[in-house]
Amino acid sequence: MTAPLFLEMAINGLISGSIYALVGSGIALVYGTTRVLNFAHGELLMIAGYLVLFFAVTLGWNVLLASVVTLALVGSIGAAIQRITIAPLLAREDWAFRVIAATIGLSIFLQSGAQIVWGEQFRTLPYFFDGVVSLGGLRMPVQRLSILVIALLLMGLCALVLYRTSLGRIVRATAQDAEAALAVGIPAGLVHTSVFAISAVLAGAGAILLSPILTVNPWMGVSFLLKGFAVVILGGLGSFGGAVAAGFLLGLIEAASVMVLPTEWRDVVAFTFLIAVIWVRPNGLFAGREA
Amino acid sequence: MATYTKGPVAARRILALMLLAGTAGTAQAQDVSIGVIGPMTGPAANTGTAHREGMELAVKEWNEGAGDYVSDEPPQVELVVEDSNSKPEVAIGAAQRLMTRSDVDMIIGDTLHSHVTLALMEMAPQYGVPILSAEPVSSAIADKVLSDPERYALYYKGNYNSDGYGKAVHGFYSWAFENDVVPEGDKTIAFVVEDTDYGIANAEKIGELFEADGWTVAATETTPTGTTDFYPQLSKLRGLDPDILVSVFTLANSGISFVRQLDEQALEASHMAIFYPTRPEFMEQAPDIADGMFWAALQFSPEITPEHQAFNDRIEAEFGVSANYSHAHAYCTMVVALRAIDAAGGTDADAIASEIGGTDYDCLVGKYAFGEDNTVQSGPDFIPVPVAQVQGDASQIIWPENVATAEPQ
Amino acid sequence: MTEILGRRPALSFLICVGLFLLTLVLPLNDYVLHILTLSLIFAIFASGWNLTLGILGLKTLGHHAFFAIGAYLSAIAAFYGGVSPWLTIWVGAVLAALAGLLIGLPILRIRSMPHVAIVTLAFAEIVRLIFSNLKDITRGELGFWGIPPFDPVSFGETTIRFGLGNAWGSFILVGLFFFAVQGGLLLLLRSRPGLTFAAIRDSEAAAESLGINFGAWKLAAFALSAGIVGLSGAIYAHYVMILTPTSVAGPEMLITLLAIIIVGGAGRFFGPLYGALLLTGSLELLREFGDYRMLLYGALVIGFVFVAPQGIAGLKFDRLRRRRGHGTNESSSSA
Repeated sequence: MTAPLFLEMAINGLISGSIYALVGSGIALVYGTTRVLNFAHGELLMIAGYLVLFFAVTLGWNVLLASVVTLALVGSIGAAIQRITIAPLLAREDWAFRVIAATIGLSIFLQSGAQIVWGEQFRTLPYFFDGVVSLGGLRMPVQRLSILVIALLLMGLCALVLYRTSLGRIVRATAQDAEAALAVGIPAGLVHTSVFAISAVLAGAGAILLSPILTVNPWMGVSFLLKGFAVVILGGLGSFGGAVAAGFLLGLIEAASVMVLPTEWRDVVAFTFLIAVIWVRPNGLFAGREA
Repeated sequence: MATYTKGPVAARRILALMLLAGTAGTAQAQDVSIGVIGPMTGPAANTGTAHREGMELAVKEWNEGAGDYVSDEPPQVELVVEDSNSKPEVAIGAAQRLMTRSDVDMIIGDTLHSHVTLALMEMAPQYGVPILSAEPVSSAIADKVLSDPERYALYYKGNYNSDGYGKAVHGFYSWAFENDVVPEGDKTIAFVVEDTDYGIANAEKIGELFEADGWTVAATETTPTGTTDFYPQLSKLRGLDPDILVSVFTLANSGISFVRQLDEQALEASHMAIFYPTRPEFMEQAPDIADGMFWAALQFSPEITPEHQAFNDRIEAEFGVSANYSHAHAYCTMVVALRAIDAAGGTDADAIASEIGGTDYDCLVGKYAFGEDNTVQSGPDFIPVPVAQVQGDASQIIWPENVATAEPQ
Repeated sequence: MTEILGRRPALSFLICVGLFLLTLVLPLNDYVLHILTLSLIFAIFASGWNLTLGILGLKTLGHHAFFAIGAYLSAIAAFYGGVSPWLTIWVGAVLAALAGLLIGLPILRIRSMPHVAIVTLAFAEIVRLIFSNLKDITRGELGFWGIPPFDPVSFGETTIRFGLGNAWGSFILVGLFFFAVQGGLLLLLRSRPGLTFAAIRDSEAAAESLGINFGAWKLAAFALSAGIVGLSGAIYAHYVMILTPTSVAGPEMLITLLAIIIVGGAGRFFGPLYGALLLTGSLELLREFGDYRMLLYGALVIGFVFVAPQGIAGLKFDRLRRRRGHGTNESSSSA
């Protein structure tokens, strides 16, 4: 294996890792703040894919405009899911399992709904960016590199909001103790809803970045949900930074596995790594940091 | 009339099922009913829909007196379409419904997939029903028939074996090297194929023929059906630098993504695509990304063949879509089945099977005749497998020379 | 324990047996029998999973892995080893139970529900991918065909055949398995170990203070649960005679079984039977509306979680209890 090829594999790993980080950090944010595992998180990805397809291809809008509108819509859909299906369950006993069951039901519902509404066409967006970066023996289309750059920018922005703004302080306060937060006048319900919206926007951004490369189809969220969950556990349940780091780590592990083993064993390696980590460090690789 | 049951028909059926579980169905005006199993939903639904339309047209023409009959009193035929969703176990469930609920006399299926057919053909001995597959190609099916001819006596394969493609690809390249269309290089060939019996069998057959000429198979990369990200495979192949690259996919989307990413990665290999360029979705995008690409097999071309244009007009009149290869192949498969039933003069399974075996019939894509392995034969005397090239907006046949419509570019 | 089993479990059990015998004399066509057979196989699956999910109180989401293990390993043993399915199904069940021990150890150490849910889900994905990737043995998604059906059984003149195409024999066979499993579980739950399960569920701390080593009990219960699910998978394999990794260990299997459990009543002994009959039966009739089937499954799960979290079995129980004027000591739910 030549050095440029090795580098190319590593970049491929970081690119898929950046998507895992986007999806995983959203799940982690929601779990850290609300202790809810949203099994319909992957479907937010799928819905965003179809929305951007609709705006950018069917209506022929400018990609940037289409993306912004898509993100706004997906954010509202995320908030609506929290309001309609999750918030009412939180008051009940045994809510943790009921939320899991209800969101699994919602996930299947949305998948079949998408299949009925949009059909089973596997569709792809045209590239947003043309051109191929060619350095030595390395060839990488700008479209792919842009995923990494944009995902990093988005997560940086998110971290900035979480750790440097008053909204972030409120979110982190609610995460630590919802009742105490309520006592000092923070409306926990509103915070929960906005956290869901933010996590939906992160997933939606992942979908928009992916849609020119992968196909938009009713089931596109499933594999990313599983990877997102793995990332959340690896990073320490509820840790935003841990999820981002674990996302990139998982991407690199997968890229390494593709170099050594046939491609179809990639996910086996990824999930076995997860279970191995659970054996050794049940609290994740970077235990100790909170949202 | 074909019944791809939805809505009211479905409701009626459920009602009937609830009311008289067990007793025989209501009297039917049709003499014979044929079940069809194909990918009506799922990633290959486009192709499955084309199959359904082709078969519906054949049955409609047959029932309306416009068929090419064998006997003087051809039976009226009912068509029942079931979905396989591209999955073998779903197809088995569908076959079971066709046998126990719809009580069909014959099954055509799977209409597209080799791997589904390998499972489905087991139903022929299990239920004693004749089964004819439509587009599946994999030689593994014919090998299975040869391994136990008695067990699979009721099964027939309505398309040629993978070596049909093998011979075409090999024959084309031998000719191309001789005529300096393609440089021979250091004789390495690589494959990126979909992980199905179809993809694997094609890679094996083509590889065997090249290896006999002293070539080396540098790599055979298989990817799951529906794959659209080929970067890991292409990165690897760029390191291996093969002279010929053969890609096999049944889904147009995989093909489009593959060809586009191949272009980005700037591999120097001569690229031969199999099957997916027959899909109209691919051809829509082809001028931008695939100019000059070789592919097999161009068997349906209304622009070139008047008979195909006439068929295209009939499909367009009936369904409002233009016909593609899958329409034509499905139409011919159904005509072969209808004529066999007509000739058998009844619904006896053995009689129908033996009539299918005796088929010798010219249809749109070539002459249908079955070999000892119960499989349609390929080649110049039977169904030809020509190689084409994407030239601008259209594809032209460039090999074999006697049927070529253009020079290679 | 009443809360799990209902008030007169033995009587309900006998009524079910009676209904089964009644079905045998009805002039049902092959298609209806096929649906009932599938329902009963899924009911066995759900009973096994229910042991962990409801009765043991561990929220796992990966029991379809054990179904796949039972199905594939029994099929492989019968296909390549030429061993009769009458024997191989037990191989499948035992190996599934062993796999249960393997995955049970780490997840029983972790108490957090998200960890348990995600790790078991990941385990199921690993199992699916392994069967999918070992193409030389299983043919992966291309389908493992040629799995032999159960060998025919002769009683004097009559020979009963099994497998697809032999609807009547298959239905009787699966019915016998179902009642054997249900009967066995019933006896077990009413015995001392059964009471131990209940003790674990109601209060781990209290049970521990009584000196019950619940670690071992939990592990044993988890293995038993995996074994029963494995057995149902093995029976499934020799009935449908074709397997693909996605059909036995894919997301659709998870949602189907989750719906059966939730609709029937998680943690209720008869829940799986009600759920399986209702869902497999009525929704199979809706197969003509193919696209809408999974939509309905999803909607049903959401609906039951909101409206009737105790499922059908729970509804009946609540009504009975109220009528008989028992206390309103609301169960600690199916947690």
